[in-house]
Amino acid sequence: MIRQKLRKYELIYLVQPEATDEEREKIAERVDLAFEKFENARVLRKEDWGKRKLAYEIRKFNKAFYQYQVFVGPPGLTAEIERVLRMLDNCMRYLTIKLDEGLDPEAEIIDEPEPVRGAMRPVVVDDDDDDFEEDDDA
Amino acid sequence: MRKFGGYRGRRRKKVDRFQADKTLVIDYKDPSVLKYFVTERGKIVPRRVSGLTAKNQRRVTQAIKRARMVALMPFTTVKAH
Repeated sequence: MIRQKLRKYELIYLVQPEATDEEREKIAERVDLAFEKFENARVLRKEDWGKRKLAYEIRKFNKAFYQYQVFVGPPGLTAEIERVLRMLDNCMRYLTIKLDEGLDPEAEIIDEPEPVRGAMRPVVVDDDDDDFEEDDDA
Repeated sequence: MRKFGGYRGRRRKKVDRFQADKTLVIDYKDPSVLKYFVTERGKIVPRRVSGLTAKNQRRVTQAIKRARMVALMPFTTVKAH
């Protein structure tokens, strides 16, 4: 049997801003569960970008929790993850990007964290739920 | 290089920002860099204006489109005027 080459991906998903910690936890668990169905699938890094302002309204919300993770897995894994996320009502958006492919499952896959740059990492901490009439356009 | 003998004054030579500054990375997760390549309305600036190389313009375009998907950048901004 040919050993399946692995692919490296990154995933961002947005959870609606009114979700409780438990609800967000649950989504993360459901995503983690998907990894158990695939051999050699594993998460390399998880980041919580916190509650951020959206560039445009989604489902009448102006903010969302951003969750980010880098992972490796065989082909088919992302389809499963996206299927799971699609089913979860609290998840507003997801985006999977392939970073690398053809990785040998035997070789150790190292994840070099990106340098903290730009506006992305330092999380905007403002937790007032002024989710309406936020924008200056009247 | 000048095109057409300098009518309307000399054209300023355009520089690809990513070639000029190697520390700048094109990444859809970093809207602070990408914002230089969209108009105030959120439209992607054409290559003739942005001055990017074809390769980098494609990367920037791709990055902006991805950023839009996860609401890091706007598709449009409606300016009341």
